[in-house]
This record gives sequence, structure tokens and C-alpha cells, in this order.
Amino acid sequence: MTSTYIKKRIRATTSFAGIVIALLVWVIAEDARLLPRSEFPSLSSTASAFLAQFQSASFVSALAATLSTWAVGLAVALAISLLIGSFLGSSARAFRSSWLIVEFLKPIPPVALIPLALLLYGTSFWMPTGLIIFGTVWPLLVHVIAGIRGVDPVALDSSRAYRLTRRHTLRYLILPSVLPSLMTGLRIAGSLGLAIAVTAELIGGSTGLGNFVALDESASKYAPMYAVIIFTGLIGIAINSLFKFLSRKIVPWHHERFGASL
Amino acid sequence: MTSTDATPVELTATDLTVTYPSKSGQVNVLDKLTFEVPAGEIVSIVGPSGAGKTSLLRCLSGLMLPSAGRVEIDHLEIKEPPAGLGIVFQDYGRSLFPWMDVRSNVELPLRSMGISRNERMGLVSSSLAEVGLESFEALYPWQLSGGMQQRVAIARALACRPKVLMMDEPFASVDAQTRFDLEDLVLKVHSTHGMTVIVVTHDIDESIYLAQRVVVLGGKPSTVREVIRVGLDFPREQISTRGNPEFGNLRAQLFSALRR
Amino acid sequence: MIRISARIANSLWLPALLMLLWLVVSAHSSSIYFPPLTNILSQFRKDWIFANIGKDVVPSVRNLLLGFILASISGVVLGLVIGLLPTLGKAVSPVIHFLRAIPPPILLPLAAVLLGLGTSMKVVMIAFGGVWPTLISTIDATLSVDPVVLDTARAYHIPLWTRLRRIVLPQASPRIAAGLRTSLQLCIFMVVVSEMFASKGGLGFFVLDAEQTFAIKQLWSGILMLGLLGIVANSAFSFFESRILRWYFMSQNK
Ligand SMILES: Nc1ncnc2c1ncn2[C@@H]1O[C@H](COP(=O)(O)OP(=O)(O)OP(=O)(O)O)[C@@H](O)[C@H]1O
Ligand SMILES: [Mg+2]
Repeated sequence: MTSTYIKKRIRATTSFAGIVIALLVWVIAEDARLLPRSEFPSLSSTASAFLAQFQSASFVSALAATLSTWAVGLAVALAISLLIGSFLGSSARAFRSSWLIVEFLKPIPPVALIPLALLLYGTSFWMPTGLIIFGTVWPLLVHVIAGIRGVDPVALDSSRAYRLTRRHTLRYLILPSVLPSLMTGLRIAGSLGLAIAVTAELIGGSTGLGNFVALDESASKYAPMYAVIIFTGLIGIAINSLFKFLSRKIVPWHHERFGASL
Repeated sequence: MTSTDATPVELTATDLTVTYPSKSGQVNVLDKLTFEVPAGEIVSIVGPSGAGKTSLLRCLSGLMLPSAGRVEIDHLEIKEPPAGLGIVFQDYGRSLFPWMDVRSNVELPLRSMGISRNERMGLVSSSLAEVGLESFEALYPWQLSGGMQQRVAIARALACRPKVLMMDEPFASVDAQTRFDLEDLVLKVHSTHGMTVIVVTHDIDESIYLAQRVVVLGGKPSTVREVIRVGLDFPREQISTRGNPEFGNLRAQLFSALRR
Repeated sequence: MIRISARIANSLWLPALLMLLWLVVSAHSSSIYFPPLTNILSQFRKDWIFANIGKDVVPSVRNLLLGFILASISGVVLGLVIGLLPTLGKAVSPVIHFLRAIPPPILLPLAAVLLGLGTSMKVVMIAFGGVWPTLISTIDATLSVDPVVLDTARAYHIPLWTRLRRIVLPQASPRIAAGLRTSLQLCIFMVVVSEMFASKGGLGFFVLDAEQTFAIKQLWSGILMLGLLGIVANSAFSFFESRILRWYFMSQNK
């Protein structure tokens, strides 16, 4: 008990030292004029730009746009992959007939469809959202199918032998078996979705953090640009931690049993 | 027999045949097995590894349809698991749900049967007590030893008050002492509830010790070599029953049936 | 023989049916956005056999290769170093997690400011975008090499290089390979994005330019080409992976 506590403390201290050193490197580099001041703003001006962003209405609306396309896109992709995945996962025949299609569509970089999405939806909400759906549906689908095909056959036999109702089988066997794999898929899809959202905004010009950075750059406003980039990184971390937390809440048996780091 | 127990059932297998698809066409595992399991008896099925014992049990329990032949319970052909079945799988660990604690694992079939909450509580507690696990009901299966998981699986079967209890090599992977304890547990459960019991095993001594009748499988594909009646008295006891000269005779008889 | 062809038929009927459906349904399509498949295919032939190969495909493939190689080497080397020096690992882990969490395309404007718009910027950004899965899985794989084996090797004074080559790498390689595969996907992603962002060549530029000039058939033929690139890159990876892992497998059995 105590020793794990001490270990955690040491770990936290070392990690903290790492952050401090990284920031020190930034300060020293700017002091020694290793980097051009204009294109590499100082830590303090970046920090004040960071705080200033929250007062800017355009930043707040960009943030809201990015987060809402991300959430809606991911939710739709999840619904689609649960629907299709549960069908493909439970029928060997359906799986055989369709895995080639999945294998062919999966490697297509979703950003290749940005121009098409621009044609169809302009810079509206559905341009980035549609791309997120197309891009994240594959990792989700693959993990749903793997989860369903991974249901233990002996456990399945038990549920049949004890004549569990359909609802109980679904609720107490299929769902818990699929969840660990689904959570992994969601974590992958979550950060991929954020990358797609930002790209669609950067290239396609719809409202959002990606577009915000592009505008800052073309106006040579480097301190706010850095601030927004750092902020986006923090969102990425928040999304990762959110899924890690959800995973611990939703599939605790998986973590305790396998000590999975996920 | 207590008042809540279901009446035991009679099982018959007629010309039961199982073939599996293989690379070179079909492989025949069980060939025209015919035998009966009288109501309320303990019957053991013994055969070497790979003889098709698990396949046979899956047919008897209705989990799998035989390629030919039929299985009847009280003269009704079964095509899916019947009501009143209790079963303990060879991979008992994998048959318990790791995301549910011991109590919920035992309780789940009862919920599907639509039994009221109060009655469920009583059934779960009494069957966990019967296998000696009453103080472990809040733990998860993977926090228990193999023998304890085995007893949870038995408790789950007992809680359903089964008319027939089927067990697939139930004690193959536990130590000798635990094995003896579990064998006696099965005998005790049978004498309390009086259900029909089918035990699959590859251990000759165990098949004799537990059963009133032994079905011997052998050959490729497996056929019923012999059905041997075991006349040893109940209650049985590990040392005296196994020391009985009759036990030795039966063992010799079984050995030669398997060798043949 | 019959079984094999039955299996092929089993997995091909649906894709074939869908292609046919696309062909038939689009045949008389008057929608400007969804031209007939036959038109797309003839455009594809016009564009890629072999008119624009040098201008658009070659730079994309070159950038992908350079970026992926850079990502692989730096990911594996850094991963080994971090994995073998746990204290360093703890110190850099917040920085790594932060950098990994930044969606890489958002760094393109910054990279443009610092490195200009040339090939080197693209390659660096492709590598930066793709390095993380390889780095993380190399660290994880190195950390999970059996510590008893490592202690034994140290006790017998087996030199570091041999330890790496004979003990760490073989045990870690399957997981490193899994990381590399994900890295490849991200690198392709970054190839396309980097070419869409202020560029005058490459497949990403080709499709975006087609959209801006409203050349719908080119747009579709470009998307088809990008899909093909993704599929070919993945298959090539699988091919090399099976080769290389087999080599490891046999060397371990020797
Ligand atoms: N689903 C299946 N598909 C194909 N072959 C199978 C299948 N299940 C079992 N077999 C084959 O049937 C034979 C009998 O298997 P089974 O599991 O019934 O034997 P068993 O007597 O229970 O063996 P053990 O004592 O090892 O548990 C084996 O040769 C096995 O390979
Ligand atoms: Mg078996």
C-alpha cells in the first residue's frame, strides 16, 4: 500500500520535473536568442495569449464548433458501427462476404474526401462531421466485430443451457464481452476524429480551431497561434483521459483482471 | 428429497452419431451410440481423451444437434436445451461471467426463469451454502481458485433445482484432495435432491465411485463398448468404497472394456 | 480446389455486386457530383496512365517513404532508449503525451513558419504525425521484456548491443510491427494533408485543386488513386512484415 503510494509520488515528481525542464528549455532558448523572436514567441507572451483567448468570442465559438462536430461525428459513427458491426460479427457468412469491402475502404485516408465533402456540404457543419463519420467508423467497426466474435463460446453455451432470455444474454453476456474492445476502438476513434475535425477546418475553412490557427498564421499573430495549438493538445489529452476514465468505470473487471493499461 | 425438488427425468440416446467437417471431408467422432439413463440415477460416461465425450454431452444437453440419431427426455425428442437442465462445463472457469460476482452468476439463470426476488435469494444462498461458498458470494470468479470456481458452477446448476445435472470432466483440473471432496459433494447433492446425474470423465476410478451405471466409450469412431452396472452401496466413502473388492473387480472389467 | 474457389466466391460476391450496382446506378447519372463510373474510370486512365504520375504520384510516394522511414527509425530508437531507461521515461512521458495529443495537422501552419513550404517541411510533418504509435508500442514492448531475462544477460556481461539485438528486439518486434502499421496509416493521412496545405503538387493537391476548379471527374479519379495508394501501402507493409517477422522467428528457433 505505502510502497505503491511512494512509487506514485516518485513518478509524479519525475513527470513534473520533465514538464519543468521542457519549459526551462523554452525560456533558455528564447533568452539566448537561439530562435527568431518574431516567429517563436516567448513563453510569457504565449501564456498571456493563452489566457486572452478565453475572452475572445471568436475563439470560444471555434472551440464549440470543433467539439460539437467531433462529438456528433463520433456518436453517429458509433451508432453505425454498432448496428452494422453486431450484424457482421454475429453471422459468419455476413462477415466472410463483407470483410474485403472493409479491408478496401479502411486504408482510404479520410482526408482524401475533404474535397468531395466540400463540394457536397460547403463549409457547413456536415462537412467536417461527415468526414469524421467516414474516418472513425472503421476503427469502431473493426473493434465491435472483434468484440462480438470474441465472445467466449463456453460462456455462450452456458447462456443457452440455462435458457437465459434474449435480453439477459444481450445485457449480461454480449454487451460486457464487447465493451473492452469497444472502449479501445473509441479511444482510437476519439483522437482520429479530433485530427480529422482540425484538418477539415484547416483545409476546408469551416469554423473551428484548425481554421483559427490558419487565420492566426496568415495574420502573423504567432503568440495566439501557439496558444491555440497548445490548447488543442490539452483537448487531446482531455479526450484521452476521458476515455481512460470511462473505460475504468465501464469495464472495471477488464482492468482488474488483466491489469490492462489500455 | 426435499419438497421443492423437481421430479427426475429419464434420458435416452438412440443411434446418436456426430460427424464434423474436416480438411479431408468428414470425420466421424461418435458412431450410433445407444444407451439410457434411468430417472434419478447417476450415470458416468468414461472414455479416453478425444473420444468425443464433450460432443456427446453437448448433444445430450441439446446444445448441439447430432448428425444422426436422437436424444429423448421422458420420450420427448430434444432439439435445444430443455428446461430443468443444470450443467457444469469442462471449462467451468470460462462458463462463469467475469464481470459478475459469484452471487449474480448463480442468480442470473433464476432471473431468466422469472423466479421472484425473494425466492431467488433463498435458492442462491442455500445452494452456495451447499457447496460451502456462502462467505464468498461478493467475490468475482477470477478471484477464486479453480476448485472454488468449480463449486460456483455446481451451485449455479443446483440453484435451478435441475431435473437432470450434467457435468463434463468436472474435476479434471483440481488437486487430489479437492477432487475427493468434490466427488463427495456430488454424491451428497444427489442424495439430497434425487435428480438424474450424468458425469463425463476419463478417470476409471471416479466413474465407478460416483455412478450406479458406467457407459464405456471406445474405438475410432467411438461406440458404446459396454454398459456396466455398479452395485456398490450408498452412501459411499472414499476409503472403504475404494477398498471394497467389488470396486477392484469393476475396475478390472472397465479396463478390459476400454482396452478391447 | 472446389473448396478454395467456393471460399473466394464467398468473399467476393458482395464486393462484385456493389461494384456492379455502382456501375449500373451511376450509368445514367445526371448528378454533377456523382458522374457515371465509366466516366470516372476513363478519367482515371487519362490521369494516371501515365500523364500525371511524375507530377503528383511520385512526390506523394517519395514523401510517404521518407516520412515513414524517419518516423520508424526515430520511433524505434527513441522507444528503445526510453524503454531501457525508465527514469528518463517517467520524465519525458508528460511531454510525449502532450505532443501526441496535439492533432498533427494543426501544426502545419507552425511548421510552415519555421521550415518553409518545401519537401523537408512535409517530410518532417509526416514523420511527426506518424511517429507516436511506433514510439509508444516500442516503449511498451521494451518495458515488458522479461526482467529476469535482462538481469541474466547483465549478470553474464552480455554487451548492450548484443542484448538489444538478441533479446530485446526479437521479443519486442511483433508489437513494434503493430505500432508501425498504425504509424503508416497516420503517415498517409499526413501526406495528403500536407499536400493540401499550401502546395503545388502531389495527390492531395491534385484532389483539392480538382475541387476548386470544379473538375468533378478528376476529383473522383484522384480519390480513387489515393484509395489505391492506401491499399498498396498497407499490402506492401503486410508483405514486409511477414518477411521480417519470419526472419526473427527462424533466428529465434536456431
Ligand atoms: N466444433 C468442432 N469442429 C470440428 N471438430 C471438432 C469440434 N469439436 C470437437 N471436434 C473433434 O471431435 C473429437 C472429439 O472432441 P471432444 O471434445 O468431444 O472430445 P473429448 O472426449 O471431450 O476430449 P477431452 O477428453 O480432451 O475433453 C476431437 O478429435 C475434436 O478434434
Ligand atoms: Mg471434453
